[in-house]
Amino acid sequence: MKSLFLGLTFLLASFSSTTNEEKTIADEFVCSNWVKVIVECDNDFWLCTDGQTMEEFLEDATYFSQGRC
Amino acid sequence: MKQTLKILFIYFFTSNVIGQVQIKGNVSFPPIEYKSEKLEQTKQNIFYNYTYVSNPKKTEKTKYSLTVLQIGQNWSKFVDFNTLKKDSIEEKFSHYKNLGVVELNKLLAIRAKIGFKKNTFKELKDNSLTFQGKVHSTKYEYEEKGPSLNWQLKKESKSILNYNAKKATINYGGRKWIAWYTEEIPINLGPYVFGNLPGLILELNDDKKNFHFIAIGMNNEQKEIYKRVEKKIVKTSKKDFFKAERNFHEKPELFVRGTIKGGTNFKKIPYNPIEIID
Repeated sequence: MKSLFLGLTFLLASFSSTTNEEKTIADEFVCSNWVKVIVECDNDFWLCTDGQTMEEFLEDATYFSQGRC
Repeated sequence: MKQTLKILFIYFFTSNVIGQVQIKGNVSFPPIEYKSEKLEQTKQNIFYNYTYVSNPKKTEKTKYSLTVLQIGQNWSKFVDFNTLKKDSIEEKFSHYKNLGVVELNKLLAIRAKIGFKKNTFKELKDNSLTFQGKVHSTKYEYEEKGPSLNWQLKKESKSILNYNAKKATINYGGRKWIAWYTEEIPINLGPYVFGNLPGLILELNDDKKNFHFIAIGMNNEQKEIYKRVEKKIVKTSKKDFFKAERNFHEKPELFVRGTIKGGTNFKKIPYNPIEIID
């Protein structure tokens, strides 16, 4: 009975660990082109251009630069 | 000429100086498509200094830009001076093969200086209005019948640009507006949608001083009154445009598609529309 309990605990721990690892990989954003956006107060950031039109990119750069200084 | 130089001098010292944003890296976008419809030539141009509050919770923080009322025979157009500059740059860039960092930085810089963001066209024969504006990256156009502006004419007067200006008040768009107009220039126009007074509006503000326009000069230079013709412009109603604008400020995550390195944190943008529309 004791060994069955230990076995189940190990199995659950393994499942839990696998799920977390998968989540970390899935959350990692893959971008082929990061562009640096420089704001006056040195609080710069990188914005991905993948799949964006120029209009979207310019508006996003403006939006994300607000409130950084 | 002297007058134009004076206006430009004031413009350079009062233009909306927002923290400069620049980009660095490899980037290339196809050129902008630029098309415009010429409406007519201006007969007169009235320049207004525009002071406004973008965050209604921080009314002490004001921003500035230069706006212009272009008046023709059949049309008038009220626009930010930097929108005219932006259009001129975009027209130039429309002939380029690709737009890179240099061009994008020029566009970012000029866009940041635009304070008054709705281009307002008035057809003078019936006062009907057409507006062009943008919410994030989507361009919109909506029309409106000329609003009935029933002003209350007051006795007070003062001098603006050496013209005798009389006071008038009105409730419009959820705000109380105070205008100073001169009968010495018998043109019933003014900033944005305002007009229908027995003379040109030289100064206009709401009673909370969130929006203030003051004439700083005028000239008779002939300039083209044009309207941008956009393939992807969304024709909408005034109510829906203001709704979209409010949504963008309150829920920017619904509009912003880009991703920043290290995770994206969306923050609300303060919203202070010139008209309060529910």
